[in-house]
Amino acid sequence: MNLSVNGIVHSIVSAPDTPLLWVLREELSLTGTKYGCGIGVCGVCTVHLDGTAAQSCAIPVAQAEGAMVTTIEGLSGSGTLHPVQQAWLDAAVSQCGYCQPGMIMATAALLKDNPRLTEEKFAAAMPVHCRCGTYLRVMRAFRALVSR
Amino acid sequence: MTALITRRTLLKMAAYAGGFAIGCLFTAPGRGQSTPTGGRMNAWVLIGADDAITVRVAHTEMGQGIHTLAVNLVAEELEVDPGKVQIEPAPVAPEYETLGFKQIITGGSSSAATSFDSLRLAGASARALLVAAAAKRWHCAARDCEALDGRIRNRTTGAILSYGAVAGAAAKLTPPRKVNLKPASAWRLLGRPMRRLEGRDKVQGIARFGIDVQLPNMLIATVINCPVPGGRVRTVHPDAAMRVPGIVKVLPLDTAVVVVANSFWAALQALEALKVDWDEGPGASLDSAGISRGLDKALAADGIVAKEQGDAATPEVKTRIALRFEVPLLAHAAFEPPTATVSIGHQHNVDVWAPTQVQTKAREVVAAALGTTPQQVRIHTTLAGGSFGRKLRVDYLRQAALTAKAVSQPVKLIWSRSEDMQHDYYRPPAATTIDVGLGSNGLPVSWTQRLAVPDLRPHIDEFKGSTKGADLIDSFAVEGAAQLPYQVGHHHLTWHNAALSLPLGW
Repeated sequence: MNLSVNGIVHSIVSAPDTPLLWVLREELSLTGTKYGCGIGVCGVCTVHLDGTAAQSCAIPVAQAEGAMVTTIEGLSGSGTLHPVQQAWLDAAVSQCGYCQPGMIMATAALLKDNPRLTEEKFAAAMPVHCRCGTYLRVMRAFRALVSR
Repeated sequence: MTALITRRTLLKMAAYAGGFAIGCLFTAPGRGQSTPTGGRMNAWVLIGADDAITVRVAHTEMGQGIHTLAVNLVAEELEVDPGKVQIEPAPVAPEYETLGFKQIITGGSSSAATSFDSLRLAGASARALLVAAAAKRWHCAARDCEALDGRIRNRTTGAILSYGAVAGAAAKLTPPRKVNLKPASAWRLLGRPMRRLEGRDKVQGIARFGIDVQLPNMLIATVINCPVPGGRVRTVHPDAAMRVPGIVKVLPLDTAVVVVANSFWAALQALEALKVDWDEGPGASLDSAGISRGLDKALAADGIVAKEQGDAATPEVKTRIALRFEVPLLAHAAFEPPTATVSIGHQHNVDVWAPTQVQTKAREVVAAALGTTPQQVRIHTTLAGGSFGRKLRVDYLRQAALTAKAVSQPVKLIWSRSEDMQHDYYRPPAATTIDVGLGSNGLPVSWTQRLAVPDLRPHIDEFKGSTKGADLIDSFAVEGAAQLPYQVGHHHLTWHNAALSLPLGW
């Protein structure tokens, strides 16, 4: 099975029913995508499939074959920050940081779909949980992004 | 009257432990060693000949920002840019023990308080050595030199030496007995907002947490703990689990069964196929309703007076409000589940990577599990994806160590989310009734509270012996309730110990 991740096609040996999350983390050593709940609820494992946010813990890798998978490691060019990453950094969103890759991937996908997203719709659509409770700073980062 | 202490004065464990760590700064092993690549100024500060500055940090970064603060404390006195400092998690050694705790621990909101003087002194002492080395090179007095932004300037000649240029020589000098710390008015870093040093790594997904550790030839393990706390493994039927592709081993421990495989997914599949008979023990009949009833029963019984202030007859009460609150057992629910990676090398030297809050204890539990000495175990502290107190406990470290030994290969143990939620050292449940008397202006004038919460001390190693005599009251149980933020004419608090045989913690 072949899998395209961050623009590179990998030959995958994991069993086809293995969740994409664990193929990314353990077979491809892309550990930026995090394990949270394992049942597609908490959102920390969010990646992009063909540009759309998807929870990688609940997608068998076989289902991702043929799609373009983008992880936090591939969100921007090497060494540079994607505007969402920069906004997150500027607003000092991260505390423990564990959920941040998922949050940033989810936000990037939401804003790509709708650059004029309102605060209310963003808050309602944000599928990623943060145990540290950084939501107020997430909103600060979001406001900076949409007001640019 | 018992002096009440709060969780934040866990520091008072110092009263048991005694001792003051600052002196250790100057007697660090390896200090005085200089190499062509620079030198170690003290336990905390290493300066390379290439001007690279490494600061060791003993506290665990779990989101609270202690790495950033620690580096800024050193950098303030060392006169360097904190953004250019490399952080190195400290090894387990006496000089890195948390002030007053006789162990390395990140807990009780104590990190900033316990580091505040010692890390500034470490920076100041290192700076003094570098200045002295530069003065020696220039044949001038130290007072004619000033340290600024990683360099030393000769005030007379204007000559400049980088820290790296004198680090090797500085490491050979005798550290000063006394250094002066800057007054707060001279601070350029402290007392101001700071940029989180690992912030950029975190938004890029390259920050390394415990769960991200990868070693060559490493296996992945996951665990099922006896569904009833206090229960034990009776019989394991591993056949179905052993048929799952990728499975390596099913390992019964006393109260849990670990499954080892070549991937987390395979381990989880095998765990689901596993059949275990449990000896559930007396805890099997406990449920939420029972816990609630236990709290009610404790509330109804006589309690111990934990606070009595003012005269009950004095305040003029216009209105009375009767309140009742109850909180359930709470799991800490850190996003990163308990996880530890253990590699047992030659001559039983053991390496452990974990997001632990208690490095000294982690080393002890791993050594005990493996039958080695603590000195043979190296703890490598990773970033923690949250912890909130959960990783003050070392249960998962013991499991990981025993597993690595059983398979003779490096193992990363990852608890599943459901295991983490089900098998916490829960924050204790509580029920309370509060009768508030309001005065004519509507403000509280009397406050009578009954508080039922388990005595936490039997659940914490360091406090097991402190439940008798003068320490009748568990100060952890009444923390917050005994120190009322309102000024009331009469304050009366009783604590009702609702003992509970479940794993409890902070």
